[in-house]
Amino acid sequence: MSREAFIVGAGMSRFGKQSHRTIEEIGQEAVRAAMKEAGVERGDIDEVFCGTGYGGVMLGQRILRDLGMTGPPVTNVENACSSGATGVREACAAIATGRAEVVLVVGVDKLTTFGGGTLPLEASDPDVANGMIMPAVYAMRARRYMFETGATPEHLAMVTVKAREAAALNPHAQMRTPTTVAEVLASRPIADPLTLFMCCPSGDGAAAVVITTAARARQLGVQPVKIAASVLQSGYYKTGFRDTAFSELTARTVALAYDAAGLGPEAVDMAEVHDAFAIAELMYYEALGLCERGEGKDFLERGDSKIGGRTPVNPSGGLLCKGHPIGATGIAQMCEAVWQLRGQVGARQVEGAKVALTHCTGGGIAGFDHGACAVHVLTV
Amino acid sequence: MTEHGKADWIVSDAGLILVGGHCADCGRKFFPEKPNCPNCGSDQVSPAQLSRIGRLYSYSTIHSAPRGFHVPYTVGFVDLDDDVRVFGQIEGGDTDLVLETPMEPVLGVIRTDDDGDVQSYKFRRATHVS
Repeated sequence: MSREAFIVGAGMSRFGKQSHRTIEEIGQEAVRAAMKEAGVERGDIDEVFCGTGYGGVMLGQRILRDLGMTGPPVTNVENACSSGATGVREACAAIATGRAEVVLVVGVDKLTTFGGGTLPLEASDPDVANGMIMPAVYAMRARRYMFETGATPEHLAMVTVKAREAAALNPHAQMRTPTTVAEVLASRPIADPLTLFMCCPSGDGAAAVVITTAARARQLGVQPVKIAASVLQSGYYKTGFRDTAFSELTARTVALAYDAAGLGPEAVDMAEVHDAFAIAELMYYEALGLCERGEGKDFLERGDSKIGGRTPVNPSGGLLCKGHPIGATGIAQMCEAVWQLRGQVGARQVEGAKVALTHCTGGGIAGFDHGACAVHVLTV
Repeated sequence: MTEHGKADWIVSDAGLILVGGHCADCGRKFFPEKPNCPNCGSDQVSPAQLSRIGRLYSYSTIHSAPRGFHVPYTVGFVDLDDDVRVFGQIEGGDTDLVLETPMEPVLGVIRTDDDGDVQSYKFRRATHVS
């Protein structure tokens, strides 16, 4: 038995610094919003997945406890920044095998718990012991990418400027004040060549989706969005040379997703990609096949990735400006995709979008491109 | 002064030599040494001295760091001649580096913890390029 899966409801909490709220409250806000949009009641939910990086044990149960939704199978999923998207993949499997009709997936993190600064990494990691931080992983990619392609720090700044323009149109986004290339370059250095504004902000937030079958979606009377591909891969560990100017992991994962969906990059109307740091977006244009290798900066300069461009990328504002509470990210990307495909996002609407791609990676581990990568293709 | 990863290096007349693993089955070297070869899974692994010659693949100067590290400090990937990539700090806050510059390992202080300075391998521009 194999059944297709459809998203029938999407919901997000506020994104941003919310130290006065508990992580459970933030998660519940997203769950209520997604269930309301889907038109499902608490008794309709057969199975739940909860993705979180730092939320601690049994977070799904803790969220459901105060919603009167205890009892059904709950699986808590950790895959760093791909935790939420990994939960969606599991939900698709639960639908496909026939064991569940309606599945809830929620992703949440509360990063203000750490009091600011860079994300804590595994102390046992040999690179971390020598002073590695997540921004430096991307900063070294940026340096190498610039060395190989001729891109400049101005190109990195342009990614942030574009993200802010989009975020200004998104009420869910954390960083909505427009900025300039000069201002981005002048913000304080974090890991050279990355400045503060080229790094995603620390924040709190949750996102949730309700996933079901084609038959049940018709009964609910809401516009369903088909999950045409749901692919997860993990990084290869390399002891020697590793090309950090091109994301092998993303290219490998998206190739599987295109194959599963039966389409290619030219069919993608919009993409939400993992721009945790500005350099990432340039590299992912290339790895996702939206442009040729080395041409990311040209794709950006031409405005191809802007709303109204050839393939708008991160019309939500992306991780850079929408925010990146890591467990929520993969699902928040799908929320944007669902709302875009339904044509309900107002000023940031990508006109006529029928195919959306969401892409997230996860985890800074010594010797890996990334620990995980998840790509979903959503269609209407 | 404490030392991080002390089994990972030896001090020779030629300077600091990093010690990793060598796999008798696939022939690859890697750093640090592990009980199994990360490339082929074999347990036929023995300690191996690694090349002192490497090239700077990329680097970054860090201005926001976890407790114990003294900002700004510079980190980088060095690709040793025996196809082993090593991540480490770059000595002396060298911020005007060019990629592909020859580098060599050297001992230095990488951070400070409750017991004082922590010494480990770092890299600097190679002093003798053959």
